Amino acid sequence: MAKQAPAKWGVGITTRNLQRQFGDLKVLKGLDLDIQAGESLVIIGRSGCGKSTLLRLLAGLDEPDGGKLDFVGESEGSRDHSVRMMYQEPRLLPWKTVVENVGIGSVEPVEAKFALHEVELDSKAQNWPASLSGGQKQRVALAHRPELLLLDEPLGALDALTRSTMHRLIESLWQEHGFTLVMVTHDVSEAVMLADRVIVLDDGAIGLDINIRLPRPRVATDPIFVGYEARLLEYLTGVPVEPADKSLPRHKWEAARPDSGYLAISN
Amino acid sequence: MSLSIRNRALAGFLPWIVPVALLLAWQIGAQLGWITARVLPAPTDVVAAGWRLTASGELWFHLKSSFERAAIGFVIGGGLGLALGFATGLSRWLSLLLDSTLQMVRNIPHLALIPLVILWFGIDETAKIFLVALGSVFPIYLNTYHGIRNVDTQLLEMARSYGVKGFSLFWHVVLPGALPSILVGVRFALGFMWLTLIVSETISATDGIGYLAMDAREFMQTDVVLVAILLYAVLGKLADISAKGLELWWLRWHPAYQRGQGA
Repeated sequence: MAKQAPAKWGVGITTRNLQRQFGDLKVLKGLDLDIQAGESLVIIGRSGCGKSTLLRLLAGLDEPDGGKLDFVGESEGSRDHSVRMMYQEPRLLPWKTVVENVGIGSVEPVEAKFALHEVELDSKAQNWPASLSGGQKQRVALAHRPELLLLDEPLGALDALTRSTMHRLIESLWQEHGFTLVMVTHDVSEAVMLADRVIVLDDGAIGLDINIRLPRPRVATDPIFVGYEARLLEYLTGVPVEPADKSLPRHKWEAARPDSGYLAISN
Repeated sequence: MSLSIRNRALAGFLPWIVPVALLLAWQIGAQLGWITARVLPAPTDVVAAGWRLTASGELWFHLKSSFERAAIGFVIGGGLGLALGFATGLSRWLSLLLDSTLQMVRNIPHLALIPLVILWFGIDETAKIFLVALGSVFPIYLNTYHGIRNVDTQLLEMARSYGVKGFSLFWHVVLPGALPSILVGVRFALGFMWLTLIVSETISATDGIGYLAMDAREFMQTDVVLVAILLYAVLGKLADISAKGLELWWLRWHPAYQRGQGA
């Protein structure tokens, strides 16, 4: 697999027959998934498909009911890799300054300051979170170099411009530090923008698994980009999507088709 | 602009009109003999009585006794309330074990226990401190418990996922999250503290502001009684100001307490 960023920090993840149910409702029905160290994986799916449940299991916020969840290179059951999670709404301790918030979970103060510099929040280091804008609050969660960065639809509440800036920031941090990135989103375009690999979760199992082979930084108007988007939308909606640009040569459009890395796993 | 300045001056002036008018009426009424000194001595007489007591050192003596009782009782009661609140707030089992009992005991007006307290401890210092402690334990207990139970679960989840646990989780996440509620409890408890102190000092005492008032009543010194009442008002206000000061400092992160720091 061609990887854009070498894995310096990232942690690999393997799940086998992973199950989680709430009462009688089986949310994850035996999920087999291998996430490479340093990979950028985006999980999409309809509401209730189990994508947030999967993310919570990866974060250690919840325990599976069955199956195995292993972090590559660690002894079984241990979780000594560092995790950061960006939630749908920014979660900062309001009684700690911005730099103290970065330091949650035993990060050295110097390291925290440098991490803030990377997300361009140096000037806000001593502010209370209440004085930050929504986008700035979300950036604080990125001011860290974890081995695993989990993103749970974190950009939905932001305006389009801020969202696009955040995409660039997340991408550049990921390229710089090589952590493993797992993101959950509804937004097909966001998925194609950031992912090495997109998984569509369908009824608790992997419905579609495709590699996004586009150079970075990616441009949303690129025909191949649009092709990937169409492919994902088609799967999600069940309605065939015509390529946006019909004047495009057929072979260009086909290039975006799942020629490789496409697995349809049914349960 | 000139109007708003005038309005502001007026706004600063208006609240004083009624008290000053009352004070003047009182003074004039007393001087003209409309109000007898036994019912209400003139304000100037009250000030004079206050000055006399201060100069003789009597005032400080009683103030010190009252303050000591209040402080000791409050520390014991508040500390106990805080400890119980932490215990039931943090542990589901302890909450099941203790909370319903505490809620039941809370509903007994603590001053209703005075006869029992006198039977237990007699009429000396222990009884008074016990009552003050009893008066301040429940406001703090309730608000601590409530505060801890209402700490934002999303923040707890976030901190846990970053590997914060045990005492560190309590100190950095739970306690600051519960603090606004705990401080509300402290302010309520301070109110109860003074109330209890007044009552317990009038039962039987040989010192304290309550004693000062009761003793003066024996000798029909209405001016001294008024000094004692005013002292309670001043002390209550001081306690409230210090609690507010704590809020301003400890909750300075809270948008509602921020002054000057622009968003």
